[in-house]
Order: sequence, then C-alpha cells, then structure tokens
Amino acid sequence: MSHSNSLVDFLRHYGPIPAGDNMYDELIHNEIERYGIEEPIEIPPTRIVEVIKNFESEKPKNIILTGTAGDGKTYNCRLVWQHFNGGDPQEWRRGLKVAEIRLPNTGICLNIVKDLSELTAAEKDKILPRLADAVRDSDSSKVYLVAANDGQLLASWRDFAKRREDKRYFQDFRVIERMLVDEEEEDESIPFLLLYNLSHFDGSECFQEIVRQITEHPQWGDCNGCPLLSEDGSTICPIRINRDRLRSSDEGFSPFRHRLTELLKLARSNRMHLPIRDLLLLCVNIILGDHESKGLLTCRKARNRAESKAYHQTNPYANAFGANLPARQRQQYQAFSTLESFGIGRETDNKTDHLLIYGPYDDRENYDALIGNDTFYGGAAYRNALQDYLEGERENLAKFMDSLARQRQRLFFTLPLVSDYSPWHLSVYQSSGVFLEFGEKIASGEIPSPIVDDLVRGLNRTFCGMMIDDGHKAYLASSGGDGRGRIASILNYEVNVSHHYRNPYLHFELASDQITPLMMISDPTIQGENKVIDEIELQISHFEYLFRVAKGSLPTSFSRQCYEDFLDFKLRIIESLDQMSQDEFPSSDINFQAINVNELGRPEFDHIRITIGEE
Amino acid sequence: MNAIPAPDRFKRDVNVWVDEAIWGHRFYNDQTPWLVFLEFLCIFRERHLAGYGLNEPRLEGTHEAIRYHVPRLLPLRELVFNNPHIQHIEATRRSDSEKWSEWLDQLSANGHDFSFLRHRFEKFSRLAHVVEYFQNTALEPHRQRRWTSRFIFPHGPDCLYADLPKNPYKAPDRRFFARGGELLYLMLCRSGHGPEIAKLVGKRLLQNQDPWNRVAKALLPNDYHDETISSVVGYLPYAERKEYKELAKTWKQLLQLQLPGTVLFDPLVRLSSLHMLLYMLRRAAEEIGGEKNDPRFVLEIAAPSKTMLYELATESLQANRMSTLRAVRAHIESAMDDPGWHRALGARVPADAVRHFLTDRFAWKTRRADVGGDPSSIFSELRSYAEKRHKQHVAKVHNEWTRQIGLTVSQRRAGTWYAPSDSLLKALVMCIVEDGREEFHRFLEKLYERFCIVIAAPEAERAFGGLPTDQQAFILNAQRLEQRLRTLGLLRRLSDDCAYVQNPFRRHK
Repeated sequence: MSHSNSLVDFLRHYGPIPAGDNMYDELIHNEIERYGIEEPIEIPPTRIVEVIKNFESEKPKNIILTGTAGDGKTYNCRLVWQHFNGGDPQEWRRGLKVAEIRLPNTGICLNIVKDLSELTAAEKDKILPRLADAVRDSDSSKVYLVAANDGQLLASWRDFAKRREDKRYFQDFRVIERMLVDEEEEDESIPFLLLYNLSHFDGSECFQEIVRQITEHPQWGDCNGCPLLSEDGSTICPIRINRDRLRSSDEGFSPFRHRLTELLKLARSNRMHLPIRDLLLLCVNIILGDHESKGLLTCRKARNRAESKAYHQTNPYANAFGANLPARQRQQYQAFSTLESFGIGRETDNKTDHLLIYGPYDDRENYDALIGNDTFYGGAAYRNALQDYLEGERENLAKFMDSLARQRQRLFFTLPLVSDYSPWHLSVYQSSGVFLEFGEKIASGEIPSPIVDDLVRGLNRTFCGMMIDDGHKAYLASSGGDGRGRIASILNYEVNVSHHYRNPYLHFELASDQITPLMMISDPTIQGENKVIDEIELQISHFEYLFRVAKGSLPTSFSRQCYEDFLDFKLRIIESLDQMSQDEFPSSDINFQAINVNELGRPEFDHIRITIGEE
Repeated sequence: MNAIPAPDRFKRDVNVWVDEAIWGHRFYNDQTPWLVFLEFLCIFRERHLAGYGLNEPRLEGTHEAIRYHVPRLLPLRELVFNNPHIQHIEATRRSDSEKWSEWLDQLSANGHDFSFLRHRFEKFSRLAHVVEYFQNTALEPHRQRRWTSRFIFPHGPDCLYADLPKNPYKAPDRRFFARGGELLYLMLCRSGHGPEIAKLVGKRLLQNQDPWNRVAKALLPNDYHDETISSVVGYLPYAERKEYKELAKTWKQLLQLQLPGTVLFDPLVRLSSLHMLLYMLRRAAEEIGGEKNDPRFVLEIAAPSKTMLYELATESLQANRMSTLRAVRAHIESAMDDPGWHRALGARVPADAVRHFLTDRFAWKTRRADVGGDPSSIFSELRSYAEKRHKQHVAKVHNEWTRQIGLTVSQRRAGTWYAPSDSLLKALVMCIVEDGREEFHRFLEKLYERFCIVIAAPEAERAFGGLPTDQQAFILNAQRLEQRLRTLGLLRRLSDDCAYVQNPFRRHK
C-alpha cells in the first residue's frame, strides 16, 4: 500500500475544495476525529478571555460579536458554551439556534445566539426586543451573547425599531451603528452592551501563527517512511517542498512568508479584510494547490507529480494567487482576489525582466543566485520556454508570457531582504516598501524627511496642478470658480511641513490600524487637546499616488479616486482656514498671490495688488 | 387644491395659456440649469437687500407681485467677454506703458474709457491675469453664446448681471433668463423655509467680502452708474406643494456643508433642477389624472456591456418625456367637462360660442377669426396649436436639463437613457448623507424617497409595484454603484455585508 499522511487529508478541508462548507466551525470537528488529528489548528480567539471574564463577573454585560463571515464568531460562542456547560460537544452539535445556560456565579440565564442570520423573522422579533431591553438593563435576569454580521445586525435592529415605533429602540440603533463605524466597543448610553468586532485583528500576525501551526504540525512526522522523503530530510514531494518554502529556514526567516505578511499588511491598510477562514485557506492552498487537478494535492497526486517532475503544476508562488483554480472558483475567495489586486506577475520593471530573459547570458551570477538555483520552480521550470523565445519561437508566446509571469511571482516571493532588485517593482504599488517603512518610522517617532519631502511634493502638484518641485511647504491654491479646475493658480495658504508654534502645519501620525499614515493639518493656536484642523488617511493607494505624482507620472488606475480625495481635502482645509482668519479687517486694497512654476520647478509668486480709492 | 389665478399681464403676453397654466410662467429649454440658478441669484440679491429675500408677502388667493432690478454691468462684461486683444497685447508688446496705451486706444474706439484701471493695477500684466482668470472661470464656457449672454462665476453680489440681447442697450429678450430662476425663487419663497434659506444664501453664496467679488467691483469705474433692468416675477400656479418643501430641504442640507461657498454652486444647480423636473412630472401626472403613479427615474449604472437596466432606463426616460405632452392634451381636453363647453355647443351659432369659450379659457389668440368650422375642428385646431407650442420649448426641458445635470447620457445608436454622472452622484451624496455617513441600502432607499431614483431591487419593487425584470439585474446595478462610489472616495465597506456611503464634507458628530 502506498504511503499517505492523514494530516494532508485533514488540511484539505480548510482549502478551496468544491463543497466549501467544510471549514465551518460546526463541521470541522467531525473531521478532526475522523483523521485522528491530535493537535487541531486553533487560532487563539482574541477576545475570548474578556468574554468569559465578563460572564463570570457579578454584573455581566451583554455581548454582541460582529465580524466578517469566517472570523470565528460561532467558534467563540462554542468556546463560551463549553466553558460554562462543562462542554458537551454533542449537545452543541445538535445545532440549537439559541442555547441557554445558567451562569454558575450569578444564576443569571445566558442566551447564546450563535448566528443571528439563522433566525427567522419571527424569532428575531422575539429575541431583539429582549436584547434591547437587556442592554439598557431593563431586564437583568437574562444576559445575551449574540453573533451577527454587522450588516445583518443593523438591518434587523433598524427593522424591529421601526416596527415597534419606539424612539428608544431607534436611538439604540443609532448608537450601535456609530459604535460599529467608529470601531468602539462601549457607549455610555447603552451601558450593558459590549460590541466586539472580531475582524479587528492584524491579519498578518494571524497568518504567521496559522503558517506556524500548519507547517510545524507534529503529524508531518507521519511522512517518515514515505519513499519521496530521504533520510537526510531532502525531498522531492511537492507538498513537503512547498511546506519548506513557507517554513522558517535555519535563520528563522522565509522571504516567502515575509512577503505574504507584508501583502496582508498592505491589504489591511487598504481596508481589505481577510477573515481567518480565508487565511487558513490561503495557507493550505499554497502548500497543497495543484493546477492539474484544478484543486488540491493528495499524497497520491503528489507522488505522481514528483514522478513526472510536473512541478509547474504545484508552484506555491502561483498557488498564493489561486492560480491552481479555475477563474470562476478563484473569484469566490477573498484571499485570492485581494492578493490578485496587487498585480504581482503582471507588473514589472525593465531591470527584472532583463534578468529573467537575458540573465542566463549576460548576468549569470545573479541569475543563478536568484532564479537558476531553484530546481523545482525556478530556472529549470522555465528554461525551455525561455530558450524557445530567445530563438525566435513566437507560436507559444502566450505560454511563454505566462511562465514569465510565474517567474516574476516567484521572484517577488523569494528575493532576499537586501537585494539590487526590488520586489515591489513587481507590484502595482511600487512604493509599498517605503510605505511600510514610513509607518514603522512614524511609530518609532523618527519621521524620515526624504519620504515626507516626496509626499508633500506630490501633494503640491495635486493641489496646484503644476509640476512644482518643492516638498518643504504645502501650497493650498484655488482654481477659482467651483474649485474643481485642474490648475489652481491663486495661492490661498502656505502651510509649513515642520512643527510650528504659531501657524498651522502639516504633520504625520499613524491611523488606528498602526500601519496607515495619517496626513494632518494642525493649528497650534486651537484651544484644548485636539489641534487637528483636518486629516486624510494615506492608504497605500493614496500613498502610491502621491509618490508617483512626485516622481512625475500619473497612474490612471487609481488616480481618479485619489485625486478627488485630495481635492476634497484641500477644499476642506481652505474653508477651515478661511473661517479662522475671517475676523481680520479687510483693507481697502485687494491683495492676492498668483502662483506659478518656473523651469526649475520652483514655485514663483506674483503679488497682485489692486488699489481702490482715490485716483 | 386650486391654482392661484394668473395675473392678466402674463396671459396677455402669450398666444395660448396652457404650458404656463400647468407649470408656471415659465420653463424654457434654452435656459440651462446654471442660468436658472443665476437668474435666481439676481432676483435674490436685490430682494434680500430690500429685506424681502425669499420672504415675499402674498395675500391669500393672490399671486405675489414682485418687481426687481438687475444691473447690466456692461464695462465688466466688455472687459471679460468682448476684449479679444488683451492677451495678444500682453504677449507681444514690450513695455508696460506701450501695452496700456495700445489697449486703452483699442477700447476707447468702442466708446469706453478704462484708463482708471491703470492706476488700480499699475502693471498691465496683472490686469491681463485678472481678466484671464474671469475668462477661465466663466460659466458654461463650452457654449457658444453671444457675449451679452455670457456670465462670470458668481463669486459675490457684484458678479451678477442681466442677460441681454445682442445690442446690450435694448430691452432683454428673455432667451436665457427665461424666468426659470423666478420660478425657483417663488418655490423657495413658498416652501415655508424662505427666511432661513435667505440667511444661509446671503452668508454662504453672496459674500461682499469675497476677494473675487471685490476684484469684479474694481473693474468698474468709481462713478459708474447702471441702467438696471426692471422686471416683475413670473407666475407659479400653486401656493403650497411638497416639491417646494423638498427643494428647500435640499438647499438647507447643502448650504450647511463644511465647504467654501463657491463649491456649493455645482450641487445646488444640479439638485435644484432635479427638484424642478420632479415638480414638472408630478404636475403632469396630476393633469393626466387616473392612476396615481409617482414619477421614477430608473438609473443604469454604467456597465461594460448592455444590461437590462439600460432598457428600463430608456423606457423610463421615454415615459417621463411623453408625460408633459400628455398633460397638455389632458389639460385642454378638460375644457370639454366644463359646463361652459356644453352651453356653447347648445348656442345658436355653436362655432362662434365655442371659439369664444376656448379663447377666453385658454387666453388663446388665434390669428384667424374664421378658424375651423364646426366646434370639434376648432377644438382640435387649439389642441394642435398648444401641442406644437409645447413641443418647441417646454417639452424639451426634460431632455435638456437631465443631460445638463448629469442624469442622462446619450450615445450614438444607443440613444438617450438615465445614467448618472460622477458629479451628480457626488451632489446626491453631499445632500442625502446627513450624518456624515449612511448605510448603503438606506442610501438607495433615500435616493428613491427624495428624488424618485431607482437603482436597486427594493426600490424598483416600490416604484413598479413588483419587479419589472429579474432581481439579479438590479443587484448587479447596485453593486456597480457601490464600486463607483468607492472609486469616488464616497463609500467605505465595513465587512462583507455592510457598506457605508460617506459624505466627505460633513463630519459626523
């Protein structure tokens, strides 16, 4: 009988296999038993300690768990159930929509709604008013733990509030809405509610943990004895190879895992949230993805691929983008569409493509070190197609372009931290590296002025519609008329970029996700704590926009939104500053500054004065 | 509710009183939404100064009698719109004094003395810069209108002036200021919120101290005396209507945004016209009678390939366009229900009596006294005349305005249909999203409730009393809108089933 590892079969259930419902918390348990998995993959829920502590307290509050599907809402409910109920998994599995437990400390009845969307309209109509009363503490004999998608929750609450025509319920709806959007967990107007959004976690950290648990799982030991695995640990099994690529090498560093983590950080800054379920799926697909079967490897398939040396079918760098799946299926998974949006494989620069195409002939050293040395997915996989191309074969051009894209993807994930080649030039957001660096530097309080300089230069060019080469001051200029003209030649305000004691100035801080920079205009003369006049979040797309504009180009794909956002930002600041300076007595003469730009890119000002009065 | 009787002087001016009786005096296709707004500002400016801004006294059952004056400001307009050589002189002549003297010579040939500008500006280049600024920011620059019908941006009260015929010393011909602005003024007056809005308009839109307003003023000589144009505000039939209140609500919402006043013009122009179009459609439906159907605009959000929504958007436009003509027909035919009509038919000479009845009822000035013969041909003569007249101007308003405000698009072969422009979408978000944000589906619901705009399935169900096509088409339409708003920076997704439309100009408390 051929060798097979049941861990592989188990992991498949987290991956993108057709019956997509098998990674639901409700079902994964059967699989754990079936495959004899000793250590289940478990991501410690971020809020469970607080949740349990709350229900153990003298005066427990009600808790609503929200978050994107796949972030573990049901899982959290089950843990609470097990904690207080001594954990009879069988009973939980009976699938009660609303489970009741008497809390041992207080005797209060805890109602667990493990998924609000499972309830019928009539059931919701019964539960929600009670929950609404409980959060106001009108009924303290009961307390609730409710899991719900945020949209669901808001819609149901609003509907019942409307139907009851009770103003209080509607006020509560408004409060909950505000808490969700502003990402707040408590509000004094409904004191007995805690709102935990399970989507608020750092996906990149969570992914690291998932990769660790999967790649370091003890049951990989069951591979021992498999003919594909040599005694010295070397292997020709694609599953083991892919697992090794994700694992820490001896120095504890895997460029593959590092780049994936960075991509997930960027996605977070772009507000593209990947739930835990998708992160699991991503990790499993990287290791098990198989193009030939349009799905996932089993041990038997892995053996076939190894025997026929068909490693191009199991390329983990392509699997990361779901390339093993048919397009229709791929599009269903957020993990793939999110990573796909970085354009890795399509984007490139001349330097990298030159290495990939002519490297074997004119830069052997770099080519071997970066591409040639990978006998499974690098040079070997690509040699024939390249050879044909260089010899002028054009019939299979599409195929060649495809393998070139694969090599770019591979390079993106394998380039060492220090290299003459930039991985980010192989993505849509070329400034990603700088972006991440900028965020880290802001966090540590040492803001690098060259980056600021570039950003402000991009901003000035956007604000004025001229190729200004100045990043030391921000020039707020108007185009006149309705303010939306491309060229703004009347200077309203100049704002310093370094901290100033009297005048408004531009500076940077970090947004609450601890990744995204905030560009702020503050006025030191405002009384009180908050001196910010206005701010704009520089998500990666906005950051990239400013950066590219500063470098003299304008990327069309996302320039539109960014341009509009910065224009609105400008208009708001001008309005705020206008209001602050309105008290000044207007002189009888009219003065204003026209702004223009000279051949060197320096802004030039023409003071225009119109004398009114006696001639 | 009965219409307020129209003052006779208006009836005297027209050949048949039908369009005006239904919608007011008057809607006119040459007057674009911007010009409606500008005409409004001209009226408002003077009435506000006099203390009556949007707060005009009206005796129960009678129409307001509002006389207003609008300046001609010819020197300013000559400088900006009838001054073709200034840039050339600036570019080609060397010394400053050379420039001044050549330019002043040229203009004095037209009978104007602009030498005072030399003292005010000192350098010729500064004057050229300022003139260029006003030219660059002029309204509707792509329209090839006579120079006396071109307008500088309304930076403040001193930038407002009358529309004039080719010979600017003659009386206005009412082609571009065709009284649409007067109707807008009356609607806001009768909305019940006039004084509040007047205060906001004065504060936000017509600032004396706006620097560009002061510059415009500085282009006039010190001793300038204006021969103002005097007019009486036109006729709006109904004293109270829901549309007036809705219009006022929109104005209040927009005027309270945290934005420079000049930026508010664009959304105000678009949405005021949208409200006025809704007024036209609702009035039309009332005239037609029968089943009470609220108007609807089914919007297709641009898609890469043709969708079912395109068909519906096209049909919806056709229906709305036709409704004004049907209203005219119904309005005329209602005369046959009048006892006067039956009395006329029973008269000794029915043709004479009928002619008399109809000319009286519709202020019909038929050129041929011997028109028709029997009563029914006289009647159809009147009807076809009124329809023809309607088709010339009022019928075209819907098409013209919807295109101008970005509610329709036209494409060769595909025709014209409702599909929103980015600017209109932004204006709608600025108006509707009050608390700084609104849940996406709720936003769609509000679009329907406020503006009869149908984009998604639930609203389609309400508008049609059932889905007119399969639900998926509407779901995709809404998804495209979401995507579009996202790229405009107006939408944020919270999770897989929850998105919020954001108003970038209103921060939530």
